[in-house]
Amino acid sequence: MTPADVHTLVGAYVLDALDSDERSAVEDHLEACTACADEVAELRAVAAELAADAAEAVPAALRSAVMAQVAVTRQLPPALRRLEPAAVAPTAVAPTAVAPTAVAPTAVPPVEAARRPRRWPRPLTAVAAGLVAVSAGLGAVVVDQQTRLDTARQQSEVLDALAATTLDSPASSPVAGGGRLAVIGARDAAAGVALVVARDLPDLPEGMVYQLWLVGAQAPRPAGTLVGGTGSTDHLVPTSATDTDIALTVEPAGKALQPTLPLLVSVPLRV
Amino acid sequence: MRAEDSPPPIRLVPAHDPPLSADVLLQRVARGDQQAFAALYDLVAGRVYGLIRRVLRDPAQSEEVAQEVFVEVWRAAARFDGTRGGALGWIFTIAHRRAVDRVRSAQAAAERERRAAVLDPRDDDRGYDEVFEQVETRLEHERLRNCLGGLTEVQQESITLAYYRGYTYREVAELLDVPLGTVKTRMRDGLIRLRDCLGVA
Repeated sequence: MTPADVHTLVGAYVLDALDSDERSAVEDHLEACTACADEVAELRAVAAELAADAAEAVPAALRSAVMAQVAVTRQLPPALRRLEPAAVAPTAVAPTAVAPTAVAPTAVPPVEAARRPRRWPRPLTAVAAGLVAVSAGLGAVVVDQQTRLDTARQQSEVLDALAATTLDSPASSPVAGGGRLAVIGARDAAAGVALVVARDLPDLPEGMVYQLWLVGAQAPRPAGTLVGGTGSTDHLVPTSATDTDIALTVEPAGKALQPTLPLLVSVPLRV
Repeated sequence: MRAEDSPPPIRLVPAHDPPLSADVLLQRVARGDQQAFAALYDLVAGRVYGLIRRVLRDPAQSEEVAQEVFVEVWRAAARFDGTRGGALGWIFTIAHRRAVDRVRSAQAAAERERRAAVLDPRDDDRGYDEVFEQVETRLEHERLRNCLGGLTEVQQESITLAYYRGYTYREVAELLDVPLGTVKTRMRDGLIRLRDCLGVA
């Protein structure tokens, strides 16, 4: 199926009016074509209006059945397609003024429990990333951990630990309007991932979100959203070699094509 | 008395915090918050079930599919990005796709063949005209009804047959006796016209 053919199927795709082969072909194309993916996202919002129109009284038994099943259902972790699992030499958590070095994957034996903060889960296998916290010129916090990140709950525990440590340190930045934000970056030879953590961002009006942006050689591109309110919020962002900074703005939900000034904060991805 | 001399207007403070949006709730669900999930369920279950029911008709199957949809929302919440559309759109996309997949798999091969032989859409025992009566009586939003009314006949019929009945574009082309290319184009430009009329995206 040529890209031209796929373009003509966008409307039918959004309406789920394709057979499974055609649907797969369109989805393959969407991974490669940002313009098409943007159009699909726009038209999906229209389909959502078609859906949202009708509400019906829901059988009471459905709620209890759903809650019971959810209680025993494992959640998927966020998709990290570009992060390769790698075992990394562990070091203690310590703020330093040294520029971060690229973390290369090396095989290491499992870490003794004493080297890791107690609340992090015991690793079952060595799947880890070396993580470097980057501040706006104040130095770097080097954090390493080895843990099995295959459940949302375990990821959540690790994220909580990292977020708290980093947000409390000089490696975090104040956000205009309230709150603090920090970027914890990992880089391997081919690509990177940044963990953006924030805390105490003010609540936003209905329909508005905190939008993250990747800034660099290319035009700023959307990189996920954060929520306001007390407590911490975070988002894992795959980064490319040409990205230099992460920025935060407030945008209408689902409509961000380019940042609406002012930037609430901008943090470099590397020192 | 000038406006600036007036006392500030009295602000009514709600007794409870305003309900959280689907977007906020879904972010919390992504981190394992089951209370947020329950709140999200209460927020959208009526619309999710209603949408599935409209496509599937059968209440028991609709309940099954609705359960699958909500469990999938729980399971995949951390995969939702938020950049390309909001939480509601994501949830409805899951619900609609599952309803459509179920309604197609439920059709016996014989019924498919029979429908393919139908020349007059009104002979289809699903009741072609019934589609619009049902959509009309269930439409509570004036805005949506007006915007649908602003589409051409083929645009409107293509979209409603596909979205509310689960027909593929090929089946729609047969039912409407319209070329495949035309149906594909009308679905897309009909959605675009709806988008402009509704002021979404």
